[in-house]
Amino acid sequence: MKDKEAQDYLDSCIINQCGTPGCDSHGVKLDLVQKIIDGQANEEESKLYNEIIDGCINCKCRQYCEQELAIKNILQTKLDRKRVPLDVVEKIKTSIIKII
Amino acid sequence: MFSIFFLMEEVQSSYTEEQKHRIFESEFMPHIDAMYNFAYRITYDEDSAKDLLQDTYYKAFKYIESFHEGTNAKAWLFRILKNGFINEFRKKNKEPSMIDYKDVETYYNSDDVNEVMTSDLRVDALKDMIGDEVSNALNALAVDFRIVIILCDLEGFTYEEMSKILDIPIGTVRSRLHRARNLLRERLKTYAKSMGFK
Repeated sequence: MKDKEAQDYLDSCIINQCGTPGCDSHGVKLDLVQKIIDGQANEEESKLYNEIIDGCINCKCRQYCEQELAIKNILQTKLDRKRVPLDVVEKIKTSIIKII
Repeated sequence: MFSIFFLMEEVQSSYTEEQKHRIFESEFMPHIDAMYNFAYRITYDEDSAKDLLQDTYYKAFKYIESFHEGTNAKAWLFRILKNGFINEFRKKNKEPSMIDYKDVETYYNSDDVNEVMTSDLRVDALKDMIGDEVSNALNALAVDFRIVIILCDLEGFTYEEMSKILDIPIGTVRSRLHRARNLLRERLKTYAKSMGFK
């Protein structure tokens, strides 16, 4: 039995009623979208996702996925990556000498 | 006190002093910048990040026999850092404790959930954002939400690796990630509006 937090996720993971007439993507699950976003979908899941999403240009699932990818992209490209100060590296090396 | 429970669950290796130093240099040190950035983003303070980093590397060397050479050193180090943050740093600095998931669950069980999931945040608005705005939006999240975003989106850990680092089931990792992203999207939407995007 999964814990409550996981269950809440599962309960909310089906994107219902995308709003586009004739759209057959109601069954797209958010966990599939999440796996696609995070590059953790296997071949079969990617194929399933593409089949569903290709058939629904205005689908909110697609909008959601595009937004998520854009957010992931700005996190990766716009946040500073600091380098650890050299004096900290020296302190670390000094501290492990003391262990020996 | 530093919890070593996670170290005790694995079979100990036996290394010579020379091997320990080689492992430390070749497997641990290459991740020091990523570790520093992680420490900085969860403490939100440069001095605290340095202290947490030093403490993590000290423990990594001290308990190096619990590390199996050739396995995922980065995940192992991140786990030590995360535990150090929770067990010592957060208590010492009297930071707020774990987020109240009841509040979050109440929100996510409400009718607003679908609204959030499909909120109108234009992709072009995101592209025009500067680093400070993105950084502020991330830092505004509760630390437990911030951590999953950092691990997944910035450090590229898999759900399984995150599950081991955070000591929570994969389902919980994914639900927390989902919630964190929804919250982050809302923050970014606020910034986008302030920039004039509608």
